[in-house]
Amino acid sequence: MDLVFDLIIGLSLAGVSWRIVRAREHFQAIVLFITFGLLLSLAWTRLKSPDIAIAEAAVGAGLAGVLLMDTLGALSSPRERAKVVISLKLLIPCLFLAGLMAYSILYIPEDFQGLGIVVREALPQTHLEYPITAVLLDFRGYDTWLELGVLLVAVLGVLCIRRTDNIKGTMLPAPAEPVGSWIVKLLLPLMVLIGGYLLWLGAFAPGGAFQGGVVLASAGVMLWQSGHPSLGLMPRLWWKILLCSGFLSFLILAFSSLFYTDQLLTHPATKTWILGVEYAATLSIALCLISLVLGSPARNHENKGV
Amino acid sequence: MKIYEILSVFFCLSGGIFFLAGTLGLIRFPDTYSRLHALTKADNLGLGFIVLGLIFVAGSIPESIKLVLTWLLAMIGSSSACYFIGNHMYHPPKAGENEDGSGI
Repeated sequence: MDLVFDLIIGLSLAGVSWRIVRAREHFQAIVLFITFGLLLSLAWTRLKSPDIAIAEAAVGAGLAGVLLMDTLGALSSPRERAKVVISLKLLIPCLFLAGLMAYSILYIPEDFQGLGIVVREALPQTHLEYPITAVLLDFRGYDTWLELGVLLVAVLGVLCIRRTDNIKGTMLPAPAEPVGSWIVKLLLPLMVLIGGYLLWLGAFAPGGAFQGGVVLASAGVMLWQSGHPSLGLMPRLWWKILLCSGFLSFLILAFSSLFYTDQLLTHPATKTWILGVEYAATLSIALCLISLVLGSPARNHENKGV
Repeated sequence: MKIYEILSVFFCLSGGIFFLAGTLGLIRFPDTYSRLHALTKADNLGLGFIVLGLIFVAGSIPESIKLVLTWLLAMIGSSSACYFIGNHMYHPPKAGENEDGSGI
């Protein structure tokens, strides 16, 4: 029964990705891409990786969908039919690579445990209870640091294209309808609560900085969509500080660890550091994602400055 | 099989039937308004029955509460999304106004 379910998910993933490539309109392709993200998060759930499943559903299906729709709005001729050309020159190496990957699965020993045992043995040193958070923020801290850097660079890239340092000048006018403001009032506290809850969960269960940050970011996107003025009320200096806070906290951590040892990012009293970094990273991720949506070039003509 | 499990399977299947009917309506109905009708029925009743079915096999009270909260949130989300789409159809935005197709 499990096998049937897995096969259905796997085949639908392949089918949907084929449909994305062959989609006639961009809009259809985007909707299919969102579907693909949701199916993918189901697949991650089946692989017992709830962390990735939450992140995939929130980022891959949610925020990426918003960004793509925004891009579609910015394109001059959105109804343009996408040309699909399948070149044999590319198809053969792609098939070869896919074959190699499939073949490599045969070489995984059946009792392969991955790095799980190593992580579990080292877990007590971090004073954290949840291995994924320990890997993300401690064992593989460099990766997370650079990921935050990538997000920051993406926001800087958007600012460069917009030729402005003012990300906030893109507020939409408040809509006249009552349901919009009602739902903001209802959902905003819940979203902040859930974002904080996911962040707090990260210490001992699936959740953490990325998942919490994305929920906060979607709260910000909702505020922006509904024309709520609160996002624009935040001082620009704070906006900039919070944008950098995730990357900066890792930088401070790396620098201050040099006082203790000769190596970067090794630190005593681990849990305090990790919590600090995680909270800063959450705010930073949330604000970076909001800025990406707000700063999309689609709003160029509406930029009036704050 | 215990009575709880039987009830759970029954309610989950009922929810599945609502989702199936909703999907069929989404594909077969002629215009946006009736499609919205089909879609929100699937969201509200289908998800409601599935949540009800899952509550019977939920391990603890907090888990059941979370399931019910999920259903309530989905209802709020789907009914307001339905309103926004319907409103957009009934009062189409004039040219030059904010029409980015991104919805809510």
